[in-house]
Amino acid sequence: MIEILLTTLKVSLTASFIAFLTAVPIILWLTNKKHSFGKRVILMSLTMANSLPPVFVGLVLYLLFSYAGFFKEMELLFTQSAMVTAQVVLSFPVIVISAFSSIRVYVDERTDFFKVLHLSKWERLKIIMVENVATFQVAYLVGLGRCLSEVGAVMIVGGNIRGDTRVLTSSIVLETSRGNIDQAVYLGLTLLAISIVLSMTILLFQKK
Amino acid sequence: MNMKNAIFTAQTLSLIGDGGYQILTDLTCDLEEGGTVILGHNGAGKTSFLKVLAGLVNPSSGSVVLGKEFSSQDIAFVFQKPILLNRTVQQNIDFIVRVRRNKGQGFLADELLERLGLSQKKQHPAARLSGGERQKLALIMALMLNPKILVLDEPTANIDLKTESEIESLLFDLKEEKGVNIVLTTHIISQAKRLADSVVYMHEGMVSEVTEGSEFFKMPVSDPARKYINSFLG
Repeated sequence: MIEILLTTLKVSLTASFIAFLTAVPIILWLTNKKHSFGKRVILMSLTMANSLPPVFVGLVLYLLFSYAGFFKEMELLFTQSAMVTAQVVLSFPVIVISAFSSIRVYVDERTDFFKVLHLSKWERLKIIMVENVATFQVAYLVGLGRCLSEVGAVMIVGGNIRGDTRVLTSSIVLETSRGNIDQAVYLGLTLLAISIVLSMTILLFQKK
Repeated sequence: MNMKNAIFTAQTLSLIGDGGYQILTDLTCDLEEGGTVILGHNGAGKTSFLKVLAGLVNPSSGSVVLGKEFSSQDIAFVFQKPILLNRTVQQNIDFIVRVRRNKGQGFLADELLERLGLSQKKQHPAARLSGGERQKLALIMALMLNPKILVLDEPTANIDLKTESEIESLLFDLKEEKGVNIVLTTHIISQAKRLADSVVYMHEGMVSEVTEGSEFFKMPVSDPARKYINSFLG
């Protein structure tokens, strides 16, 4: 049980952290970019990616990592790295979209203010980041939530291997299918506890 | 009228809005040193004109030439809806002091805070100030930029009479004692009379007239301006 919990946290924390680090420059670029066709296309793509079915993402990654796939040399299939990759793909658009919508309002309201102050691009970015720390924190936690609750993709690319790629969500699926309902409920409650702690943390940051 | 130096010269300015409608049309005028009040009905293009003057919006055609002794960094802008950072009053001021470009002997924040009654609220979050207090803070922040030209878009709209009077009085002193050039829009005629060395009257995106302040309030030259003034006299 402890092993499953630790694997869950390791995979999801790593994935959400990578997704967050990748998302921050994109968020800042999008908020500072004037309206253009390219920006609209990117936002539309990210919004669509936001609702990508995890099972589909898992399937695509499976095909890419499999022995006939484009990335077969990397030997990622049925490893925690593959699970991290799947979760990065799933949480990245969630982080970008959730932070962008708040920060865009902030920037739109202050565009003229920044212009009057003749702020350089870096000063502008710095102030946007400092003033929106809570928004970034919430976006990260939303991304982490997406990683923790995801099951379809990690089962396909991770293989749900005991002691290696088994996480809370895939264990719940397995135990339920085996008829070990008590065990499944126990795992489910553990996942629920993590979700509650996560939600409370988000609320706390939002209140700030 | 005495010949004064122009702080802004607008040359055949036109501005077309996002929806393709004309906001400013072929607008040409000089704004001279001292206090210039831009009057006109809502939708006349006053705010857009101010933003073009301050370089916040690029005109669709035409240009704005800044007076020889000024640079774009000598301009500060006070918006109708105050824009502040999500920090305390003191931190907002500190931020401006940190980023201002034209350093030198400027206004003292403490004096301004004291004068506008905000000295007790230095540690208050700016977001929790009242509308009037937020506008006062925005004005102080603009002054911390050491502007030679202060552009204000209806700075006393939607605030109580006491705050209005405090802000107006400060603007008057800045103009008369500190030599700050003031360009503002307002719908308050008494305020316009007090602060205007000259009046620009705008009507449907065009300048109807530019007249010396005292003359304008006695007898505006253009029909739209006469109607506007008469509407206040009843």
